[in-house]
Amino acid sequence: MLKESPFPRLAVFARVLLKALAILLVLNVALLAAGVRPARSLVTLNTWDLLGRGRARLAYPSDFQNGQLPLEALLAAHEISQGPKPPGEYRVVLIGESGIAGWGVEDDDTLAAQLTALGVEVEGRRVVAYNLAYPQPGAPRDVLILDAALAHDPDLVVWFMTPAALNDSLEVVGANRVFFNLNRERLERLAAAYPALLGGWYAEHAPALLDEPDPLARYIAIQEQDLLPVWLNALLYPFETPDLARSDRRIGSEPVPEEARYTLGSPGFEPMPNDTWGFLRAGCLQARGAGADLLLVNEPMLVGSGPHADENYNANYGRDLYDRYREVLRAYAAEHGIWYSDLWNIIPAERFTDTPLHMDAEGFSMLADALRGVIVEGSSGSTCER
Amino acid sequence: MQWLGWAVGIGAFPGLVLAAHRGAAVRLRMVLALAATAALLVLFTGEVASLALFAVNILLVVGTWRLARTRAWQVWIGVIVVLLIASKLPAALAGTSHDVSLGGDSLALWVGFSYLAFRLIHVTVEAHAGRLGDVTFEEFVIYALHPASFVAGPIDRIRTSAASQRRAAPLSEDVHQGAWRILLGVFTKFVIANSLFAFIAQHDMTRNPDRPIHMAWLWLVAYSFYLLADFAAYTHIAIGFGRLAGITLPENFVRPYFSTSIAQFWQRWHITLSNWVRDYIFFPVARSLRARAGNRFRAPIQFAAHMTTMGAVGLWHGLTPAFLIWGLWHGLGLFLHGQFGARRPRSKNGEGAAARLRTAASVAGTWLFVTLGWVFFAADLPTALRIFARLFGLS
Repeated sequence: MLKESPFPRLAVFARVLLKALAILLVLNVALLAAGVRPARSLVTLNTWDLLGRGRARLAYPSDFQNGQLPLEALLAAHEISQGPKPPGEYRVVLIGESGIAGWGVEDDDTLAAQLTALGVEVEGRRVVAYNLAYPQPGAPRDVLILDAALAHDPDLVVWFMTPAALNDSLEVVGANRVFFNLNRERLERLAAAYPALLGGWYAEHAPALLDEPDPLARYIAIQEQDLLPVWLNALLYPFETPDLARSDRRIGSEPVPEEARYTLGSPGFEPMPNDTWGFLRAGCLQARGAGADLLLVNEPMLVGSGPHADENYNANYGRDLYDRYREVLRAYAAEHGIWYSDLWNIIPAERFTDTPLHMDAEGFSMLADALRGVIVEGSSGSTCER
Repeated sequence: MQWLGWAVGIGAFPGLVLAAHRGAAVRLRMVLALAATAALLVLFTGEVASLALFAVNILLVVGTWRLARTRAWQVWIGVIVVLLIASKLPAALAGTSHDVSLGGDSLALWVGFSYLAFRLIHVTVEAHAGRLGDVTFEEFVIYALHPASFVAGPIDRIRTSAASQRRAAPLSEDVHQGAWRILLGVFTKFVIANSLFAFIAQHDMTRNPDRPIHMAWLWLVAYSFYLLADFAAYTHIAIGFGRLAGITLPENFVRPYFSTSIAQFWQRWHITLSNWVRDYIFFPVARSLRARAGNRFRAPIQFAAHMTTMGAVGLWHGLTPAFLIWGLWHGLGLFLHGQFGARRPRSKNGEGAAARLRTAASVAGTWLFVTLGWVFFAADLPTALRIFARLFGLS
């Protein structure tokens, strides 16, 4: 360890420090003038290009509250960013939570991979699906991803929904707090673009979700250095075996618990629809505005059996809450011209692994088949009308 | 207004420390040091309630000064030891002893007591033995509660500290060296330690011990260097702030991962702690056992003294089985080194390639031993055992 300063005198030390500060100041002013935030720009660089392919899924470290990067960086490393869309490709983007991301299964077994492997054609073009789902439920978070994905020219956005994603309690919404802060400018832009749909939600949640803006931040270009260690670590991702969080558990063979996590009285669901539902229409309008269609899907879940199955469908949802949610979601989609498909119970119980939403490879195969039917045969398109 | 709090903290804290420089009268320096420590605690914990526990610390310091020279000195040491155990019990009972983050619960508000307890025991013993010399009460308070070393050491010696407080070095020299060490500490913490932490947090074996073997080893190596960088950074900053206040604190780390034996490692890693436990646990235990058993049981006495000492070091970090095992791991290493390694005759040709190779092998072996021990430092015992099994492909 160095003990003494290598600068022989205080005056030399002070001069070095002053010069360093001066360089920092000039650099800061230059970057501000150029509108560049170096940390933000740097983290969009990635090592996947060295391998000639991108990630099949968005990066979500196990410590995903503290190890996240902005959406621009996540998408830059994703396979959707590997070159322009080929002419013969019908680009489908999948959005949802961990169940759709493919928690516990290999990249080749996820819904996106299996849907692509079916070789379906729509409008004479081959369907290629991209997995942009992300752990933790949250329709507001999904819309931020959808908005970022639109830069990659999708033809169809398939958005998987669950009741928890529409829960507007701070406990559930707050699980994506780091995500919102990293992408706050996108959130603020969307809230400003759809004041009638998102204004209520934003006014209620933003103060608790978003860190208080630093009044000096606009004068500092060289900020967000906290991203750099996360980014450095992300550079290793292509060269390591991913942690797939595999589980041998088969929750479908277990009895349905006496008490479900969410029931009709649980906070965050009433009224139904609440302010969070505005994101459904905002997402739909945003997609249509970019020339993409939007299909809203009620995500498949475990329908358990046994002693408490007449009260609860599974550990997550009581029947009272879930039945009401299905009814309201269908009506909401119909009222607002959102193309909707309810696939809630199409996957048999034995295909679920560690949670009522996580499927195995066979489950994803069944879902891909069902989705093909919806996309190819039942295409009606969203109008996102009032 | 978080930025305002930080601005005040970053501005006021060094200001207070600098104001406490030896140029001022000793009583004024004592008051400024206490004020700076109080400000630091509120900044660190975000809780004004931490000041109540700081007041308890001040009472303990006063109590030590009053009781150390009386017949109650042993009882007083007992009280400090009981308080030390009590300060660690809530985390042990709540199962959060391996969470080293500060703030958040009432226990964390008693930041720094682990170090203070060792200083108070040291002063009590020295005062009883009549070795305090002309150390004044004010110098003792500055020694015990100075903000530079209060939170994370180092554990200075009272007479060294008093001599340092009286030393006449130019203010410009202290500012120069102090600022340099703070810069070094900030760089080590925010660039090196935080980058390593990002890696270990994202590939955290303690959350998922079933990761692939190569990731388990990568995580362990990163964790090993993270611990060194993190702790060494705090020490740099502590020594730097000490210099700003005109106090030269002892070094705590001297290239520990270049040690050629586990004994040398403990002379280079957390030096002030290992010196303390050597003087106040190892020697007394060894002497006491030798007095009862004589020299016939040299090896068992060494074994018992090493295990007791390092077991105590482990439990000092937290009252958990894993910390205890970590301590015993080192105790065993020190014992085996004392029995076999230290007795090996030295090579006559110490400069040759073979000698260099032996040194490199010793450094690598020592580092590996230390690094494997960190598994017990990082996780609770069942998780640590799973990680161990994973590292060696046994699960």
